[in-house]
Amino acid sequence: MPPEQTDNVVETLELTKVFRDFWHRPRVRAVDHLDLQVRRGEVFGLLGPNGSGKSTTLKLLLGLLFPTSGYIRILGRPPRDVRVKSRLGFLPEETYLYPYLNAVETLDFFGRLSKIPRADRRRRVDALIDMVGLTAARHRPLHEYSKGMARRIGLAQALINDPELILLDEPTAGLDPIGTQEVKNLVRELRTRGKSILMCSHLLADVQDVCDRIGILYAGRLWTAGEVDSLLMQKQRTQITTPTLSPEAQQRVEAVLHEVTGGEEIEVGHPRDRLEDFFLRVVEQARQAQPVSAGAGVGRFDASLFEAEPAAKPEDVIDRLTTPAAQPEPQPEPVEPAEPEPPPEPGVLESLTTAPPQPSEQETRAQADAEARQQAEAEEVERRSVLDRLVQQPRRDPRDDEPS
Amino acid sequence: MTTRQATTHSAWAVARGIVLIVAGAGVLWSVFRAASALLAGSAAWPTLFDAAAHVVGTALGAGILYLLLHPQVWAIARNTMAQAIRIRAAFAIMALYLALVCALPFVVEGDGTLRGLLHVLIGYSLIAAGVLLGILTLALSTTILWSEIHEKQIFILESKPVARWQILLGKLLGILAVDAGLLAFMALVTWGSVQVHARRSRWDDIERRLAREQVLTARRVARPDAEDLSKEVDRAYEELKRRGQLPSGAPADVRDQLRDELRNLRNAIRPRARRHWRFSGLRGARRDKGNFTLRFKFSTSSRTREKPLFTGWEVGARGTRDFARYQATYPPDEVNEVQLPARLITPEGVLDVYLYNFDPGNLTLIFTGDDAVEALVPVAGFASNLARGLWLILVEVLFLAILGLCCSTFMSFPVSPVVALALYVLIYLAGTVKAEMDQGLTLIEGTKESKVAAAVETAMRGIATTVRFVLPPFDRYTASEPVSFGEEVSSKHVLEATLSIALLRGGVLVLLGILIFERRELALASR
Repeated sequence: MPPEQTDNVVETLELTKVFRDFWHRPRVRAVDHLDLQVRRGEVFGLLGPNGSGKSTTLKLLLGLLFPTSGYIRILGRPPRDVRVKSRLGFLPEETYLYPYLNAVETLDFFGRLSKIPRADRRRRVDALIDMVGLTAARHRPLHEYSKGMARRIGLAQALINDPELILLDEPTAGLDPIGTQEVKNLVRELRTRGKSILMCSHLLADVQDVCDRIGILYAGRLWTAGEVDSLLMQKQRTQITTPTLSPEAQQRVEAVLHEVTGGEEIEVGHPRDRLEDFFLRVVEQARQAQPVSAGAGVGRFDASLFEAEPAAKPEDVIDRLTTPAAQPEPQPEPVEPAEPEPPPEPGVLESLTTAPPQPSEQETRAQADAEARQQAEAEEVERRSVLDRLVQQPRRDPRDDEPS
Repeated sequence: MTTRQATTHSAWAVARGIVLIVAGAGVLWSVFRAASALLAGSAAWPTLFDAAAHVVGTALGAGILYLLLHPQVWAIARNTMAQAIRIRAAFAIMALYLALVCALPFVVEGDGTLRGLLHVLIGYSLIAAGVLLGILTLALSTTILWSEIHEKQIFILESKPVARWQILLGKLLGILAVDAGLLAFMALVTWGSVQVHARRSRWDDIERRLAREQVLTARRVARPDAEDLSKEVDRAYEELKRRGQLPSGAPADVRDQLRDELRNLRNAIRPRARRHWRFSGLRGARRDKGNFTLRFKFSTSSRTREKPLFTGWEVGARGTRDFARYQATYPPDEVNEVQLPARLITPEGVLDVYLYNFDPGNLTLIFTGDDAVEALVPVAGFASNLARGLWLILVEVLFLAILGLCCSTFMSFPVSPVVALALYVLIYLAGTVKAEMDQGLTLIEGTKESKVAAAVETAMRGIATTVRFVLPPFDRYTASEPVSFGEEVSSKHVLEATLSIALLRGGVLVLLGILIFERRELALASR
């Protein structure tokens, strides 16, 4: 198939990977006839439970594993083609970097490998370190870094060559909530600049926030793929959005709706699946269709493993969880996930995480909040300017225009 | 790729292009010259052979240069150096070497002369340099690539525009750079230690001069011209035939036997007899000032006699001013060195040496082996000779680095160093075994009685010869012996070692390593 005809940055057809044992007998089918397409300029999220073949797929795309059968094209070329790699960025599931190098040396090394000229390299290294917030730690060797810091430098190395396609394996793993938010913002920014991104994750909230399309893998097979919005939309229901209605108007609308629907339950507000529910449902369906997976299965609590301590205090949470009396018999997994839990009442979280505010301090708090907001905005502006320096506007590869 | 990236990329590409064009032109020129000589009918085999060697040499050199002209190779090499330094083994080796060289004069006893001391110092420190560096290189080369696979940094490398052969070549280059740095340090330490000991006040001027002329120098070793014994063999053969006393056997074997006997007769100098040796081919060795060395070793017909023997010598062209006659006593079974004026060698480069056995004890002097009598002519200084000796060590170490890397492309950590070390030992054993076998060692008992034993012996010999041929002949290119004896390590010798060990055997091994590495599923290898 001539690669120039499609506008997919990643394309696999019938991709299969079978791991074999020492005697070359097939042991595990990690990827099974996978047809995957990532379009130019989109953020594609590859979801799946542990061991469903996400990382194996990425390794196949990078040439770290060779397919047992099937076809892979990445940016229109085979995955082992070195020319592809200069247009590619990759963040592995764990940040495998050189512990004896510091942030600058690390990025400089990968910049050299990407054949970036010296002046340009220095500029990019500084800007990237700035962007991932490691300026203060730039001269510390990486073995002193925390997991989150290592993750940040890992992300920076994936972007050193201003890649067209970025493969991210669990990009937010190990990051604090602020870091997670920054990464998500970064992914959105990269998309607006025309970059294509394939990310693997099981942090569904992250995926839902940033991905245009998702695919769900189970036992190496792609069970569903499509636009996040359309996948999560419940087509058998309708949502009407209006400007704020007066109570009388709302009563009139509800009356009309009662008349039309025959008095069934009416909910005003868009019913949309949470991705988590959707994900669990697909995986459960997949599990029923194909009970054998080489990956992690569904765990079930086994009370016989834990002996009840007679002297346990009743308020001990762990104890409540492990005492047979407190734990009903293991129920079979529900096929349809239970109704999503109602969101916690506003204020509960705050009351858990912050001390009750003193009335006299409320004003100062509000002022501090406003200042923090202003600061965050200023940082955002600065970060965007850093990004502007780093990322070029989308461009087409001249090779794509070549006649096949 | 951005425009700027494209610019540097093209700068390297232009450099590679120039290499290819120059090499291509060189090859074409050689081919053209050979072809025109062939068409003119004046081509002989040596010319064609020269042309072929030129083509191969140019292609090889250009190929290596072409591969090295990739920025990624240098980036990997830099990182490998950082990695190697990080392991800190290099510093341990430096400290160990320094301690060793400082302690050597106190530990090892020489013969009480400055020459002896320097000989021991240089010899042992070069052996130590080779062994220490060899072990370090094996350790580095078998762990550095493996750790990168095992720690999965290779996952990120694989996502960068760097080919696997570039990774392998970069690693090799990095290890070689560390080795070269260490070797430079070792050279400095050795040289400094030699200077310190040579300047100590306990040695008089004569000792210093002798040390300068016999150890701290580079002398070319010349052997006497081979004597043509065929006429004498023919005469002896005819005489025996006439008498009907020919021993049984094929005529060629009988002649070989006669030749050996005649040679032994000539090398045995009976009391009051004389022996003549001629050295031709010492062209350029004659000088009005300065000396050359006559080195000889003999044994006697008495096994118990260890006292020196009385001899008379005539050296140079008789009837001219450049002729010397002297008498001296020399101990048997020892290497004796005599300094003689270089003007005794004729301008044509011929040296005649006559030895008279004047010993009153009626003993026969026996000169056996190729190195019984040698003339050593100074051709270069100590420093340059040491440098060439160190190059030999570097060549050996380069091969070991290739061996280790090649092993670690398909073996994991505890396996690859063990295998590489076993091969290292085998390389040395193969040389010894082959040398022993050439001297008539049989590997199996009873080869004459049993056909099976004979067959096994033949097979074993075949295997040993093959192994010897495949493995690099390190023993043929040792540095410690010639440098510590003040013998020249010739550029030709060094070039030969580089070609046969590093380029030929090392090149094949590198290709093998790349071939294996390219076919590896790295994500599986890291498990």
